[in-house]
Amino acid sequence: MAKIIMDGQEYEVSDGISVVQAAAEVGVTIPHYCYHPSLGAPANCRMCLIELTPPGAPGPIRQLTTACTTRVGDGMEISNSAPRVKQARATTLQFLLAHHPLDCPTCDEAGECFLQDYAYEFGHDRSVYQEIKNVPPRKSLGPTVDLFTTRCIVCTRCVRFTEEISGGAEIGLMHRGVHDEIDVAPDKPLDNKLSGNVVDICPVGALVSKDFLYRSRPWFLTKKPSVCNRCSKGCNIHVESREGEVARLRPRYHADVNDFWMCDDGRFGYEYVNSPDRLRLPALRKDGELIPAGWRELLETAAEKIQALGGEQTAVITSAWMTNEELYAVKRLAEEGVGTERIGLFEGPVEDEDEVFPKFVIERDKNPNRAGAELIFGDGLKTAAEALDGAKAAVFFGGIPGAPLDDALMDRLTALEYLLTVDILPSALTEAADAAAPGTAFTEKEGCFTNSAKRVQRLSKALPNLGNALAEWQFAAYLANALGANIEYESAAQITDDLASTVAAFHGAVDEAIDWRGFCLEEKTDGGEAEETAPENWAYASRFWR
Amino acid sequence: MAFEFTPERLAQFHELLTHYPEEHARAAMLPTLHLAQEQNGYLSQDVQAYVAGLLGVSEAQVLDVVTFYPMFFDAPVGKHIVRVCKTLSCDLCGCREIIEHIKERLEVDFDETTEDGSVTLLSSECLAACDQAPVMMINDDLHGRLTLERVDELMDALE
Repeated sequence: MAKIIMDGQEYEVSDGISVVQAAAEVGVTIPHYCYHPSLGAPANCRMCLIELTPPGAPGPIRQLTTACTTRVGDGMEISNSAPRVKQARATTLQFLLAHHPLDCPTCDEAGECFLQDYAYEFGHDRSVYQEIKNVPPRKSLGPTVDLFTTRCIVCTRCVRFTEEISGGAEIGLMHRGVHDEIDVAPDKPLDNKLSGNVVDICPVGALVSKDFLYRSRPWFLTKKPSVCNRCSKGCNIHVESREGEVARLRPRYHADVNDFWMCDDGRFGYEYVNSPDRLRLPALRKDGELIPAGWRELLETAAEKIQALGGEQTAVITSAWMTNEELYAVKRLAEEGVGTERIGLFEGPVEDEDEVFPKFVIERDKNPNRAGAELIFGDGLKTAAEALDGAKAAVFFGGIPGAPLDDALMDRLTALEYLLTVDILPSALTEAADAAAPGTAFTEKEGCFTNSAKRVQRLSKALPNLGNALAEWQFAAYLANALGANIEYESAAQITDDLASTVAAFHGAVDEAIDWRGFCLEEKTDGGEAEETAPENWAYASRFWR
Repeated sequence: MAFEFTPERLAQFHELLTHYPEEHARAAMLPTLHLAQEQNGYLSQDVQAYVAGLLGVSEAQVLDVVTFYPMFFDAPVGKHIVRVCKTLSCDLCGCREIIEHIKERLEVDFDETTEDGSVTLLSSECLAACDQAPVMMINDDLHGRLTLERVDELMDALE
């Protein structure tokens, strides 16, 4: 730890971090654009200028210093509010705004724009710039990103991102002086799986997501912390929704999981959640057709059929896209309700290899909760095909959009005497079912995923259930009870606690212990509290990451 | 046909690389681009892609450098490059007249090439020879204390 004095007040901060981060640690904002803790600091925006008195010096050094490239040291004195600091920042803003179109009313970034915020807080209310503004045209940088060239302040965060994090270096800073602008080389668009991140790091409205462009003003969005469901990495995200629909997904900082980033598979992979085709009502097959029915009727007929065909002959197929809580409820359904050992796991694709970028990895296993399923079911877990072998009936939990239902599995399922599906989108399988129950997408779930590093991470319910849909854990409990079990859960949190007390691997992972940074099953079993990774980045993220 | 260095220039390039640390081939970008422009006359997309491949960098990183420096051309230029300074010292010493004269004589404006493809005329912000103002540069040679007669002499020598 280092003792520093900022604006006359003494603080204790982590040693060796940048002054911007140190200030964030103690709750002070030092405005900046080009600096980002996960990218190199070129100190080109000049917004973070401070007055610096090195330890032991008689007074401040003559020139103002950039806070982003200055590391804190014991006894350092900093002024974040000296008149000349304020003046320097205001002047910098005038330069940054000289060619800016001031088109906030039609800009996507308005409301979450650092240029707006800092101009308001640190800038002048008028400009002395009298010349003609440069008006370079808007251009497409790639399939996911557009550049409003006029709005760019040339901080080069995106250039450094493609050089350092994604590695393709597709973006460069072209031309010179007042004409410099961000661009890609001809025929070499920004087309990689991390491209969406450049929109997040853009401090102004220059880089915009084609997917989100003009969809909503950010202040109309409801933002809930959650976890991505597109691979076993478990990137921390925010689900931002409006009027019952997902508007966008954005990464949430986590030092041990995804840093500030997420991949485009996850970022843009939410469309199915908003699909108008989503299943909303429970349906029963009557005279060969699926007819909407009530839950009671569906549960009663299902219990009747399963009992008539025999519990041991009934397979329960669970999915690697379900939360720990849902999986545990399904486990109890299979054991206490159905009474079967035919428990199989239905899963999404697994690629041959991880996709590795210089500072990010997209994992090969496209299932968010395989680790959870394996820990909860243990050795009793079979593949879907094994569990169905010789079965007469099945309760099938799907919920994997575009899931690879191969012909062999399809034949097995449709040959059953009784098939009950719980799924979110209609498919050949739900069409063939004797009863089809609507389930929930990950944005509607409460509970946790366990990622490949055995970190239990919490999802939050960002959207209400669609139509009459029931959470899978609730459905599993109801069905088990219709079959004579006695499962009483009132919330997913109750199951989290139940799971922590009954499954050894989850020992300690009670609802209260799982905060928004997750609960690492492995670290805790090693004994003792794990040391926190990069506390200064957490502080930075909570202050500057929107 | 895609651009490639001649064997001699490729050898020169490999010699160039030895001037820089091995893991920083990117540092050899400027001399490599000069070499390429020497061979091809200008740096087409083709040439830039070739250089990017040689140095192990992206095409955007090459374009970044090419567009930054005024001595690199990303479009075809004339056989001779004429740069006339139009900044303060030269302006005080009468470069306007000289510029008008050259434009009339060549029948081109700045940033244009004569019809026969022999000369490209460029303006320049200071050629670092204010003591000899007004000055112009023809290809790699600096010419100072210009008069209209001297300009005509130099131009005649070009054709």
